[in-house]
Amino acid sequence: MPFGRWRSSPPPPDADSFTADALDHLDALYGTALRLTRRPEDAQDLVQDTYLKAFRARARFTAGTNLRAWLYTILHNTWRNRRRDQSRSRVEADSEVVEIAAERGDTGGLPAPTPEDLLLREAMSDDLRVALDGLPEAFREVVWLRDVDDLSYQDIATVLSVPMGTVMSRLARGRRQLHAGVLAARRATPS
Amino acid sequence: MRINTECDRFDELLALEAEHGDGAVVDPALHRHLAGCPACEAAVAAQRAVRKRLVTHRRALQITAPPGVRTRIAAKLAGEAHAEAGASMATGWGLRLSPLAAAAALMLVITVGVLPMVTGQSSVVLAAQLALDHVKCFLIDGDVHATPISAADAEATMRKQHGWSVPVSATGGVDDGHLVAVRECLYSEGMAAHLLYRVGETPVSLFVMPDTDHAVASVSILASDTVSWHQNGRTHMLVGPAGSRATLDSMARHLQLEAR
Repeated sequence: MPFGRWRSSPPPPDADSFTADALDHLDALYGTALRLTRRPEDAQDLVQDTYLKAFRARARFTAGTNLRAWLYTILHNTWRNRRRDQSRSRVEADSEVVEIAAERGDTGGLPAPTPEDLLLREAMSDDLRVALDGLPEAFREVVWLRDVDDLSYQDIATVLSVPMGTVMSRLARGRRQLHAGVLAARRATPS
Repeated sequence: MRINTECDRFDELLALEAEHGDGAVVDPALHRHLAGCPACEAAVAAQRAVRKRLVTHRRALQITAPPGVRTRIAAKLAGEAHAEAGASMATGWGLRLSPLAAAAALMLVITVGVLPMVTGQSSVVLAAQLALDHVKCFLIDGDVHATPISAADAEATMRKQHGWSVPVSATGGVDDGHLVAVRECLYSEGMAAHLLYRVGETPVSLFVMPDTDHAVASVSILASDTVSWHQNGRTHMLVGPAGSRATLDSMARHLQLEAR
C-alpha cells in the first residue's frame, strides 16, 4: 500500500462466526474461571462477562491470531478488576511476594476452603490435581497456560500482563513447587 | 534453596531447558553450568518430570462447562447482535456492515418489526436460545436413521421429567413426520421439554415450556425458522431450518387441533 493512502479499519468479524469460534473455547475458559474463582456460580458469571466483553470488542481482535489467548486476556483482566473492586485480596502478585509465599508453602492468601473448594478437591483426587490446587495462583496460572493450554511465552505474558522474564521465572518456580507438591501428596496418601 | 549467583543468572532459562529433550542445546553456557551444578540439574529434571505429566494428562485435566452455560451465553450474544444490528441501522452504521450481515440484520428487523418492541425482543432471545438447542440436540440425539419412538413412551418421559400430562403426537401432525427423541433442555427461564421430530429428513423441534408472556411470533434467526403459540397453559415453539416455515405452520395448526 502506498505511503499515506487512507486506510479504512477492517470490518468487525461476523457476529455468528465470531460467536461460534469463541464458544469453541468455552470449556477452557470455564476451567480457568473455576481455578480463579473456586466457585462454579462465580466461574459461570466470569465466563459470561468475558464473552460479552469479547463480543463487544471483536472488531479489535486480529483475525489469524490466537483467539483463545485473546479471550484468556479478557478473562484475566476481568478477574483482576473484580478482585480490585471487591478489595478481597491483592490484585497483582508481585514476584518477590509470590516467591516468598511459595517457599513458605502457603497458597497465596486464599481464604479457608469453602464447601465448593472441598467438592472441587474431591473431584481432583489424584496427586497432580491436589498439588496444582495447592500452588499460589500466580504460579498455577503460568504453569497451566504453558503446560496444559500450550500457550506461547509471549501469549502468557500478554494474558497475565507481566514481562516475559517473569513468565519464565514463575514457570520454573511453579513447576518446582508442583513437583514438590506431587511428592508430598504421594507421601501423604496411604498405599 | 540455591543461593549461587551463577544459578540465579540461569534461573529463567531452566523453564525453557526443561521443555527440550536431553541433548538439545538451549544455551551452551547453561549446559556448561548444568554439568557442574547438581542443584540446577535436579531442578531441570523436576521441571521436566512435571511438564511431562501435565502434557500427558492435558485432556484429563480439562473441565467441561456445565450444561446450559453454552446455550445461555450464545443467547446473550445473539441478543447483543440483535441490539447491535438495530443500533447500526438506526444510526446509518448499517452501511458499513458486510452485505451478509446487513441482510441478516434486515431479516431480523423485518421479521420482528411488526411485534411490540419489548415482547418482540424477548421472543427473539427465546427463539435464539431454542434454535441453538435445536441444533445441539439434533447433533446428539437426532440421527436421521434413528428408530422412531412411540407417543406413549414420550408421554411417559414427560410425565417422569416434568410431571406433565401432555398428549404427544407421534407424527408431529404431518404425514411424513416421526418422533425420534425426547430431551430436557435448560433455557433462561427454566427447563423445557424438547421433542425431536424428523419430517422426511428435515429436523424439527417442538419445545414445550410453562406458559410465558412472550409474544406469539414467527422469528427467523441463526439460520432457523421458529413458530410459537400458547395453549393449555403452556408455551410451545417449533424450530426448523431456514426455509421450513410452511412445514412449521402446518405442524403448528395440526398440533393445536390435536391438543384441543
